[in-house]
Amino acid sequence: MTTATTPYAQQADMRWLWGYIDRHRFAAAASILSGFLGGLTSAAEPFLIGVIIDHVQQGFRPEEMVNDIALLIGLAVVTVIAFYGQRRYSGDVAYFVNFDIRRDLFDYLLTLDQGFFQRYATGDLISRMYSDVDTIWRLLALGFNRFGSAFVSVIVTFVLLASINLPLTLVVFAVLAVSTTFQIRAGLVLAPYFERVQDQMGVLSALVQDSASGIQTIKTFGREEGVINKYHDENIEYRRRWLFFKRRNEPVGMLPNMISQLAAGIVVLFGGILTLNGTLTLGNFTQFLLFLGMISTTLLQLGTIYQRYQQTSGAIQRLTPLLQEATINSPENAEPFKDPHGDIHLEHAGVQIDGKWLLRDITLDIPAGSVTAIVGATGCGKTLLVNLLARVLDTTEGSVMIDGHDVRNLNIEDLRRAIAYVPQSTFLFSQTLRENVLMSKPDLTPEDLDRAIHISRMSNDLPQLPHGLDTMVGEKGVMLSGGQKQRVAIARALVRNAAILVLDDALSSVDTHTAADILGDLRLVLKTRTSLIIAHRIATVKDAHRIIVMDEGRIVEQGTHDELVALDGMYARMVEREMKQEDMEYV
Amino acid sequence: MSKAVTEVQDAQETVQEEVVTDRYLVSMLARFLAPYWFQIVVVFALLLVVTGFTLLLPYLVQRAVDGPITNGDISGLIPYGIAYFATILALFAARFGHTYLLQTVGQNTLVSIRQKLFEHILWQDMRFFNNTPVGLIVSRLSNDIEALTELLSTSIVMVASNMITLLGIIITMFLINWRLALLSLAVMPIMTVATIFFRVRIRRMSNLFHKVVGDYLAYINEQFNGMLVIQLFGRQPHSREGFDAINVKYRDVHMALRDYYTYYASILQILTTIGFAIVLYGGGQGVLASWATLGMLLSFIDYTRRSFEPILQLAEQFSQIQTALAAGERIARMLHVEPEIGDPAQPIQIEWVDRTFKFDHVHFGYEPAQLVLRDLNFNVPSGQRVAIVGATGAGKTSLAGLLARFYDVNEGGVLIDGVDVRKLSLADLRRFVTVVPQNPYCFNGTIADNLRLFSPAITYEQMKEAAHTACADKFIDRLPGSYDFELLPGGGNLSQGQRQLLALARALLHNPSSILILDEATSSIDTETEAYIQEGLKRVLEQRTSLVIAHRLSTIREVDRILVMQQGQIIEDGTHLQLLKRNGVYAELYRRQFEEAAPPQKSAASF
Repeated sequence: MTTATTPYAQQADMRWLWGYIDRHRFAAAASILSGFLGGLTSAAEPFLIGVIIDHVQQGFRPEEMVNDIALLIGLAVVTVIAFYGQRRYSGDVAYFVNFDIRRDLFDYLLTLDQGFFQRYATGDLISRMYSDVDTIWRLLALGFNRFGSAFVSVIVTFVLLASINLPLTLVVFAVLAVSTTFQIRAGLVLAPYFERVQDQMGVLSALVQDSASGIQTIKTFGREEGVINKYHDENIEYRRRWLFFKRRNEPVGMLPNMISQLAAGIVVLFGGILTLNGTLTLGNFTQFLLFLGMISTTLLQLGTIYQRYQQTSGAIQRLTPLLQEATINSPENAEPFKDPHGDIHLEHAGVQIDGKWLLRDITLDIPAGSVTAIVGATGCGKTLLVNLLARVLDTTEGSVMIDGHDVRNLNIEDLRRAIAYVPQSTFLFSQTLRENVLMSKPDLTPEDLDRAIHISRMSNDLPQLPHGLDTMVGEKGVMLSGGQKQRVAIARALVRNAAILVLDDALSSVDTHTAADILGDLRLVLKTRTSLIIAHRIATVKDAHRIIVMDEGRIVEQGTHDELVALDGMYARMVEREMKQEDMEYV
Repeated sequence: MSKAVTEVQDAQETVQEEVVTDRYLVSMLARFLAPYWFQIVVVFALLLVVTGFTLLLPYLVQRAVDGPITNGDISGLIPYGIAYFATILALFAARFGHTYLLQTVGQNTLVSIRQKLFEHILWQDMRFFNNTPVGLIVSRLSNDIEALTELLSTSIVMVASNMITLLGIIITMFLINWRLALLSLAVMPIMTVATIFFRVRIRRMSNLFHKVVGDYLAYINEQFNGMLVIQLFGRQPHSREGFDAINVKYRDVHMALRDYYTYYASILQILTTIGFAIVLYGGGQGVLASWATLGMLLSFIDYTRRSFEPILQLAEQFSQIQTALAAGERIARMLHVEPEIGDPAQPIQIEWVDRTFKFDHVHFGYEPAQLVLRDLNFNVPSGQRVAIVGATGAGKTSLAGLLARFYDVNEGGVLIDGVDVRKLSLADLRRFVTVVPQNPYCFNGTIADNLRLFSPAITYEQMKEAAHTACADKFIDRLPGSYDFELLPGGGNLSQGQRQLLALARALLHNPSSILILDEATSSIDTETEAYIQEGLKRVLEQRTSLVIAHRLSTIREVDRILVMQQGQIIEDGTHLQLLKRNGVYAELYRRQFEEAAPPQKSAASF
């Protein structure tokens, strides 16, 4: 069953993220509580050092100072333990939330329809599944690891310093507050410039991808120089944008450090004067200096958390389409679908994508056991039509029925098991050929496998492969030609032994002689099931029980070959064109 | 964790590999940095200035405490205050200059590395591209270069600056008070040992982590590309299972890496406080015994804190430096690959008049052990149109690759106008021979971009003329925006036939008088486009030395001569009629294909 395990929010936003954090609320609470403790004890450390300095000035004997030192080290041990807890539990939150998000997103992607995968390029999806999810991790890891301690230590520091000298404390905090605010704002203002850098990186990568994919064409025409020049221009543009961003960003990044140094200057000067007056002790003076170093780092951390929060709420929105798009799942009370016959009925079926009707008003009856061919120009909706059967796409209006059941009411796994499909472009997984063929039936008998391999004429290719059926294919294995891949896809579909067989232009890359052999054997297979064949050549379709001619998303003609020729419409024109070419052969 | 152990060992092996190429990597970086030596010297000089000013600040505090503050001299404090602020401003200026220069140098260097790498890759031979996935090339030029950016413009300087700061602090402390210096450095050896201990582990784990991220990306890439098949064949559970395994590993390795950092940070933290305690306790006695002053104690607390910072930061840089070095190594390795096919030392210039070619006892295989072509011999005179027929795997496509010199023969030779192709410059050769592949590639951009092929000088008139001759104008004119029609990635909004027409026009536009090798598209062309292709081919091939890898009967009829190939050899050679008369393999192929194209009238019941 592919029902979702989580109730998905419509919008990927901070509330959605909280839902995930909530699942690990123990770790989240533990990290914040340890943070509070660590913030408290770490803020006490500079205070204690100041006290020790005073003791030194007052001429304490070494044995009198042992208590001071023991307290200092005791505090440090508590701080380390608290910070350890903070790091550990914040990590747990961040890693587990990310783990859950990745798993849920992938689960969701598995059920998205083909319309989605046509709209979003693979590279784009990968970047969402990696970079954008990683952004969330960065926020959580930093946020939970720092917020508790930073928050408490700012407050404790303020209280401690204010109790020593209020005016000096106010001045120092005012300066730091201004600098932190400025830094946060500047970071947000500069963010779009950083995006421009990233965009240009995308342009560079796209150019690399494009030229590496089309390298043979480039080499054929000796156009390497042309590509190199283009790359050079884009590369220079990248540098321009990068420097533009960095030259603004770097001074901003330096600022907090400088401001805290300036604040230290104020402390040295005015704190020095106050110490001279006797208002401050030397120990107090030290406390101010030490706290200053600590607090400017802490404020910076809080600022960074805020910045990440802003960035993340942006990045997180890029996940929304992955959650919102149409998914295809089994319905609540799915009807099981056993022993299908393969009666297909489409009733006013229509598909609308991005506001355009790509398929409209398709009403069609395909009796079990018949052969139906679909012809028409590229982009007329043939593939869309067959995609509706196995529900890798749902209709926008109308319905698709198999054996009298609306496909949307059926258990989706049963439904898909009833259909064997050879798609237009074949995909092979990085596995052995055997595993690729046996995908849906790992326990197939050797005889049945041999039969599928024979019919698909994969048998012609096996002797040429280093390990026969056990050759690794796909990205990391042997590269197969388009024709070889299609033969694998045919074998894969035959192995399914389903009631309905769909061949979507399945022989387009197979050479004509082999294609003829395959079709010859397929005729026997087709006799026993309902078949839909998408093709371009009259020869492939003319023997079908019925031929459907499609144009711009609609059925324009249907009938047998002879009927359609007699009709003298679009199909007749196609036949004429092909016949004309064939006639020339007799010359 | 037990499973992770073996993987750590795997990662260790890669670490050892790196040691070998470290020197090469450094020399590569040095080569790219050399033009900027002066700026680099200035960068380091400014770094020294920054460090000096930074260390001056605690010293000023110490002097103020020991002088005016202890003596109760308010007016004496003013100069220290002014000096303090002045130092801060100078520090700001020096640091800004330093960063500005550094970023500029770093970015200039990277632009040149990226450019060099791109050019280097582009000039590789086809064998390289066949063996190297596109994703890997993209990743070298984006992720790896990016990691190197981090190294050049941040990490190296961070490390250098931390080292210099650390050294400066130690020297300053010893100059001020050697006894206090020894006290504050007491924990340093333990810190160093801890750092080395964790460095090794973090480095290994971070290698492993990057491998896991790579696996994760590769896995989701494959699953997304195969999503249709996954859904159709109900493979979601299997796919989810695979994803879960990688997802768990991703999380666990990431957490293991985090654990190391956590332990390390905790140890450093406690050592820092112990360092403070030693300074305070020992220094306190020093003040009593008068070998130290209170001001010194104050400044030493500051110096001690500052001396631990570089070590902490070095630790934070570990994994980044590690990543960058690995990336740099991969880049260096790729720059090291030389194409097997290149220009000869002294290319022969030929008058391009005869346009003949000849295969002379050619033996060829993509793998030396598996020959695809065996002792191939044939001669094509000027203007002859030759078709090659034969089953898949007979070696037809390899012929095209040899003539255009995408590959070199194992034995024998391929000659153009009597000259071996290996003696011609590649630029010349590629003007003489044009290959139109079965499934032509479409570049990102418009129809015009695809015709121009990165030659901005080509005009619309030239394009229209070529498109007209190739019969491609009919479909182009019907597209919205015609020549400015934006293609989807891979030319997805054109049919295969249209892409071939476009490729034909492109060939005419760029190499109007070359030998043409055409790998015909197979069957998935709608009949209307096919009619255009036939017409276009007829015009283009007229009077042209050409080699057509034929799938269609109509093409075979058009040519002057037919070669029949079987298992890497030519078994029949002659005109259509001659071969039919011979009643051999060709005649059989022809009859079968013909039956398929126009089968005898069968009833629908034959299914």
